[in-house]
Amino acid sequence: MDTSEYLPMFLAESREHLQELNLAVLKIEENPEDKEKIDEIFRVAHSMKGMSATMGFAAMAELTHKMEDVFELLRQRRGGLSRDAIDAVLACLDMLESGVQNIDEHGEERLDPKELIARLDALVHERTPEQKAAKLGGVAPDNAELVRLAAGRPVIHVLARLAEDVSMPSVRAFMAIGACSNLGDVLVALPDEDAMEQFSGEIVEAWVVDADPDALRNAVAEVEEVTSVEVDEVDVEQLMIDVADAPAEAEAEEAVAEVKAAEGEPKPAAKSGSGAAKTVRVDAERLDQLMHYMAEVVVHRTQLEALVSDADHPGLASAMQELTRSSQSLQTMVMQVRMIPVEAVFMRFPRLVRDLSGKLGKEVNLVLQGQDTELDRTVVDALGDPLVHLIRNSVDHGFEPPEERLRLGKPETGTLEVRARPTGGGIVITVKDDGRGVDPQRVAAVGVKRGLISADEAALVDVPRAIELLFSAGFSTAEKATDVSGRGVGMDAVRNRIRELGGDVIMESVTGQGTTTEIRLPLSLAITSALLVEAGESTYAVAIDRIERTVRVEDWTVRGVAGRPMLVMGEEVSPLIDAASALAGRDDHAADKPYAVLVRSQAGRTIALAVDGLLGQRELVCRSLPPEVGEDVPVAAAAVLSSGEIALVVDVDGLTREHDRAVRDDAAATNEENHGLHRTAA
Amino acid sequence: MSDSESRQLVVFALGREEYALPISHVHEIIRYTEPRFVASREEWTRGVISLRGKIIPVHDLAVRLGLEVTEREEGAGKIVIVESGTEMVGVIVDEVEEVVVLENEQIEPAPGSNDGAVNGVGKLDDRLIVLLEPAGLFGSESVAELTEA
Repeated sequence: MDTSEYLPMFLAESREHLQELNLAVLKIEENPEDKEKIDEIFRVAHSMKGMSATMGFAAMAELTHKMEDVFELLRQRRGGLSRDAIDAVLACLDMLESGVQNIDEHGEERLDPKELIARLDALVHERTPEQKAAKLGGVAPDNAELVRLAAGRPVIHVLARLAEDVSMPSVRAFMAIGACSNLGDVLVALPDEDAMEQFSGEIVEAWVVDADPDALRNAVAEVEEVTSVEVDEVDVEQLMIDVADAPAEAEAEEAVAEVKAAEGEPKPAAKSGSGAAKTVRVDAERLDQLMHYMAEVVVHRTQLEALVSDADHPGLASAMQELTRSSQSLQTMVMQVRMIPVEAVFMRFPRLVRDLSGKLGKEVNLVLQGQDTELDRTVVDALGDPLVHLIRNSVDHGFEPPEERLRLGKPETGTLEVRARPTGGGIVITVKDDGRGVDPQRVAAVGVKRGLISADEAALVDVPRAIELLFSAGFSTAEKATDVSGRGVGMDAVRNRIRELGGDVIMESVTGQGTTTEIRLPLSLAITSALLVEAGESTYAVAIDRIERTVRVEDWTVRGVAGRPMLVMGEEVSPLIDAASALAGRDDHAADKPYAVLVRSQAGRTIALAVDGLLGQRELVCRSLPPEVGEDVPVAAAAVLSSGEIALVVDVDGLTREHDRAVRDDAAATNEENHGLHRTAA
Repeated sequence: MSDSESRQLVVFALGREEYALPISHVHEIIRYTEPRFVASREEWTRGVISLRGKIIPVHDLAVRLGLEVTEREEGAGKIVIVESGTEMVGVIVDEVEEVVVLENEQIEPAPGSNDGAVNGVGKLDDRLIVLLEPAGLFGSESVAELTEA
């Protein structure tokens, strides 16, 4: 069977299954009596094995099969699996994952599971023969026994498939095995005599000696309702693998059927225990294309709107309105379709934390919250690495070893909380630990060593300044890079990645009590509702969800504070920044402009952006700027307007940062002057 | 590119001189449109244009090579869209002249180093054509990373 067309599906599902298994195994380690989880493990491992076998990935199928044997212990013994067994199973999952990766990259498994299989075998050896026999449906084609029974004669393996709608499987199985025993000596048969009566499967197998393979094939094929017969000679070594594969092959058909169903039509309600939803699996690339075309529709609609406003044709305006309305609904829909729960990344964390804390000898309790918060797929994909980095940082640098925690009067086990929650136009993901927090002195010392600050400055470093240093390029908190925290990627990389997504990272810390890092992200990336403004004869766009309001500057008071204009509106005082200069990278104070747009940064600060004119609201398709332009100015993206003109999208957070920096530079300059005066006086 | 082979080059005029880029790196040539100015670190970066919806940076070759920048007449000039790696950049030139084939023996190494922008000088009859190196010219890999570091 050509299975290549199912490969992408296989890869995607295998990865999902492996994630689920990883999580479930950790849950079982915590609570071995969780019956539901045990069932889930069996279900998932089972379909994983079937899929691998169907796709012809024998090593993965065998490995999964052996892993199932270990899981079987869960059902037989109370008190769960030993630490050894859990470790072996996790190692097994890792190997399966690298198998999936290799298949993705090279088209083949490239696995050598021998050692691991031996390790798994060793774990299940204590199992009683009766239990083993029960598992295999009444028959134990035990290798040693077969060798003994075969007594040196070549063994022929017969596998017959019955029709899917077979009416009397037990009768057909009896007939098929009977046909074999007419021609030779049947050593073992599946189903065996005891199970024959209740047999309801579709696969009949027999191990036969002293028979002609072709005669066997013909005889079994003649049995009614047998659709295919496979006959092959096996040596004992091969036999072992066949034994491992036999149950897997039985599921193969089922797995293919599932894959087929998912291809064309909605899958029957998902089998997974949590929430049986009506879902369809869609290729991610198609979603991206959908988004792309949607974006084009929006651009064309904007163009059309501009034309319609100039035209005078009865009914045109209202038709345009209808089109706008329905295309907006469509747009909302497309956005929603692209949303997936952040759980997709959160799933990686329990395993990550277990491995890291184990390696570092720390005790960490991971609390995940808000996994069902939804985000655009691209954002979720891009979130993984930055979050992993934050978690590693917490486990590696944040948490104290248990004995130190006890000495400090803290609970022995540290708590790491990863929480997602929706806010107005986006979501916030918080990574919070109750570890040692940021130590300004330690950070300052590293800062000096890295040449980021002078020794004089180091004495003045407080927590906020230390955090700023942590985010500087070229800073790594690890005094020596460990294999946990890695080298070369620091918090600046995390922040850059998040900013690329249109978000920001904010860190707060109390020395000795812990660190909280917040990642703020927009819900979706591509289409933004924006206000177009004119500044210095150029057009800029400001995202609507960042705008508090727009005002006429003449209606309010402008005051100078420390040489910088502030817009005073009753209680509210905001810095007034000239858009034309700020966005072109100049720091001009002059702001004799008729309008001000009040924008709010992620951190909740308000800035009044002085502009020449307000041009109205548009739906914009934002595209990122090439890396070599606008590096130092607060513009986040570019959008092509219906006129063909390019509008630059204002980076509100960048604007706030630029402003803060300018104010700080002013202050520093003033200090310097004072300092200078002081010296002359002395 | 092996030594025995010839190179296909797009030749264009800039001021009174002639420059060339390998044809394999020239994506297309468009009429000059005023780029949308974006303040940037490099003085030769003039801003961005939209090429069928894609935002690409536009660089002024004359400024990059340290030539005298002359005012261009309305409607004059071209933008050569150069492919470098996965990136596309627009390069402002005066006029695109022709495509020529130069044998490797007609090409000499550039006199003096020019920070990676020039990779040789071609001789064609009595013409001297400066061969530009697309990756070293504005290359995000070279210039940008050097300034980043």
